Amino acid sequence: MRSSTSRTLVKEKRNEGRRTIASLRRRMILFFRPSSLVSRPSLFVLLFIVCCLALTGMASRPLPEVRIRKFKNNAYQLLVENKPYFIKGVCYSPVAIGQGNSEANFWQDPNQPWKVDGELMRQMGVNTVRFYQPPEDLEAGKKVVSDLYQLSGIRSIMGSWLGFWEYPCPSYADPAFRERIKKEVLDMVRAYKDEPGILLWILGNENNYSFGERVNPWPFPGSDQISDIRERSSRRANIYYSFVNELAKEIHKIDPDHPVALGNGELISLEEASGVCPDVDMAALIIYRGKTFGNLFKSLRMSWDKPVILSEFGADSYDAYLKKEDQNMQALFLEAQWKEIFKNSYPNKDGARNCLGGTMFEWTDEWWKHNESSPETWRAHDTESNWSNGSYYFDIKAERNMNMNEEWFGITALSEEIEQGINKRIPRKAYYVLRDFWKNPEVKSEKRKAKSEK
Amino acid sequence: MKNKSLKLLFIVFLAVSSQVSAQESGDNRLKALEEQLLANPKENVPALEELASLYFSAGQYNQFADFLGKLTKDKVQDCSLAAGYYLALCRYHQLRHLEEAQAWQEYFDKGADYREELFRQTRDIALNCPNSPFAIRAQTINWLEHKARNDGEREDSLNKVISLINGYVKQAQVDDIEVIKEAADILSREKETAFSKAAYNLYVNRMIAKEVSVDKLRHSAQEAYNQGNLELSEAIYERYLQLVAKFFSKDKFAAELTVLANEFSSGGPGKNSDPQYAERIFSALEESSGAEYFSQELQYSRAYNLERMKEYSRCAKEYEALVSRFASGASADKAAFKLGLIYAYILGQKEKGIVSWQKVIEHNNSLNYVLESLYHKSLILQYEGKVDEAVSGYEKIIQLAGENAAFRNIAARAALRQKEITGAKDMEYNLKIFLDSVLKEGLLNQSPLDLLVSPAKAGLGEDVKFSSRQPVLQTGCIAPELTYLWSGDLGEVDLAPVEPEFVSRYRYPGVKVVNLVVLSPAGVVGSALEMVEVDEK
Repeated sequence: MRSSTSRTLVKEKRNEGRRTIASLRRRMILFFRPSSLVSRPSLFVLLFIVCCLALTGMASRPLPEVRIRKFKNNAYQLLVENKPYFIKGVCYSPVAIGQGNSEANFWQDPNQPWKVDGELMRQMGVNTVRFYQPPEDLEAGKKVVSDLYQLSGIRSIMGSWLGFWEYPCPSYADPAFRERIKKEVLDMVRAYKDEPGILLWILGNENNYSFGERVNPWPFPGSDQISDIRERSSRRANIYYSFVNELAKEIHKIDPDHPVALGNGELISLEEASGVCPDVDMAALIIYRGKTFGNLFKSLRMSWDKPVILSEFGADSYDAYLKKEDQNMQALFLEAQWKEIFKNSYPNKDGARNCLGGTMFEWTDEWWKHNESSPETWRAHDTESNWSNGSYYFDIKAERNMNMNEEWFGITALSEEIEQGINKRIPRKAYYVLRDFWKNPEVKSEKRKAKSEK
Repeated sequence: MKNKSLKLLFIVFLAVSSQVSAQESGDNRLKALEEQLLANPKENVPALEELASLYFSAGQYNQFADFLGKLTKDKVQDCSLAAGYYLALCRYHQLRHLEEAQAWQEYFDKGADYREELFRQTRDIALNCPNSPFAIRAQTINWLEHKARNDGEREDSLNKVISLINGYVKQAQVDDIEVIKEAADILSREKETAFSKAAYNLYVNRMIAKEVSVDKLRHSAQEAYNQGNLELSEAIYERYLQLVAKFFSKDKFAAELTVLANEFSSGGPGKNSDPQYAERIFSALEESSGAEYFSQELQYSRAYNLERMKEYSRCAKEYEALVSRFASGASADKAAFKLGLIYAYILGQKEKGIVSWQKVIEHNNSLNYVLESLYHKSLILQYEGKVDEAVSGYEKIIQLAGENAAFRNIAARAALRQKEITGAKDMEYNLKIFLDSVLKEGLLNQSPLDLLVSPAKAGLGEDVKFSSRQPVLQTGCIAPELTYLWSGDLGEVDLAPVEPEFVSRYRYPGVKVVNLVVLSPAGVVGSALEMVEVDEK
């Protein structure tokens, strides 16, 4: 109810803008009548205004609610209602202890965990959450998005897996599959686009890892005849990214107010996207590189010059080598990562100035993750690792180098104690470190700062 | 029953009263130390050290800070007492304690003040008392805190630790050289290897400057070795060897190098090993005494050390030297057999591998290595389609093995291969994929796949664990489906495991060869081969 009222107000404001422009146009037409040309001394002023309007395109359409500004020096900035907006975000999938991912439907949880989480997030300084996929019940999803925005001022990024986790494996070359996914995506956009809390859309996540056939490989016409794996990968990239662009184009037709991002694992294959994704507005990258993103932002400039949000990154809080929780390690990595995000954002001159912010992984731990097919393990906070990443060097000496603990990525830990109907949230060290950092994001190195103070 | 209850009550009473009295005696000690210090602060540094540890163990950080305030009042930093150092140490421990206890409220409310105090005190000591051991200790704390904060000053702070140590050792009179070792130990623990080595070298220099005898020096090096501090041990041994090289006879010096090389080498008699350092000593030995100095055992130790370092090209060279210099020696067949494996499967030179195995077969000295060499030679022939020669090789194995239980495993493998040929069946899948993978270009030319074995030298019936490290794949946080194909001599494991690791045992001695290929849906991710030496221990 509250959301539709606000929406109406926003609409009214925009319509008011449209009416003003229309009235201005009418007045100009009057001015240009031959009889009035000589008699009006302010003609030159008006001519100037007309030129400005024509040049900026304002005369033809209102500005989108969320848009990307590109400066002369190629820096990018996200604007929401014409004001700079830096994404200080978190990925949000609050699955309760004892629930599995498929069973968990937090969207319809009568205890409304998003209200507790939204308040904690607001206190921390989070302004955006990222949802990977909306629920089947669109109304339930809209309520969560609306509550987060209305109660805590938190905007939502809504995404779609683009069928990546379906079985059998998705085939982006199959017209029927594409059509079905397209319908799903456009239904999502139609349902959510008028929610005031919506910030942008992310299409796909790490779907590009399927190009190399190690994850969810999919066939395309003639793929059997191509023996070179790189050629097959390149063809898949072309098919997939063209499909994403087609979706972006359609989204823009029905929703000119929110940008569309391409979700991608690392920078892999993005050079292929640069040729076929003119309608995609930005990259949304999933990056796990430890303490530093390295040359990521500059590399993106070279391969596909689009603004970027880091839509998934972070560090877990379990030391797989010492076999104990280590909140310091997590906080240290996250702070270092956020420093680089800020450093590479407008107006900081030291970086690539193409970063619009990030949504770190993730708000709460997820106890179901290690062995998702065994419900008996959903009540245990598993300490076994599912994957290895040498950039998280603290615990890379763990057995077989398996150091990434999927169930321990939360900025807040989950307690088995129930408070307000949900697992009590216990903010980890990273919560406080980032809260303080975001209040005053000093990206200039302290060494330089110390020198300049001297 | 009544007696029992009384007994229990008495025990409880004793426990409680002993705890109370311990508490009281602790409090008394604390008070006594405080009074002692307040009466005469400068003469009581050990008392301050003891007091600090009493407060820290009780978690009473603020109380200790208050006491230090009383002790110093508004006095300027006193270098002999260095209360500022203890205050910094107190805040450092307090911050770690808050982190450990996850007391984030206090950590974030007051942490900045504690940190500021820590930095201020440590800066003051380094500035006002640069020649005091407390300056090094304080600066080390300063660096540790910057490191914990991961801030931009950690690098400068670390450099300052080294520069203070440098300044300290340059003094004519250095009373406390252990402070250098303390700092070096911390640097080593924090994996600042270049800095810890520099600090240990400065420490050793000062040891030598104190006119320590070479025997004492060797003793210190051995002590550090026994404690597992190999960095310090090596730093002392380096200087020790430089000194003794000047007056030891050539033979005595060579004998000393031999002892050390063996001690540090992989698979040697020492309890700690550093294969890289061992190889440096082997090289020094070769340089000073020539290759001919190396006995068969020493030559094998060097080759084996290189094998464990996975320096296969250099290792092959050393095994070659052994085979040619000690052709009829006890280790010659083992070395030649391993040489065959390294050439054929790792270095991608199968012809050289076959030549090496052929030498073992012709030498016909150790039946174990003859059979293994025949098997691998026949395996390659089978793979290449030279089935008649392969069948004859396998037949010979079965015939030579006879009913000997020790060779039952190799006879069974030979019989299996023979059946594949006579039955026109494909070779065992895992083995075939391994040979496909390695015979084309050799393991060294492929993307590295780490296969670990522990222990690499095992006794009969001892558990041996094989494990493969996770290969680095660009799949982000998505774990791809990987298939682990094990083959070779898997010991008591009947079915080839499909997991990335397994444990097995071997009942008979010899060099056991285990192969692994890791497959993803996109094809071979990598291959690896490991050798385990099984002996009667």
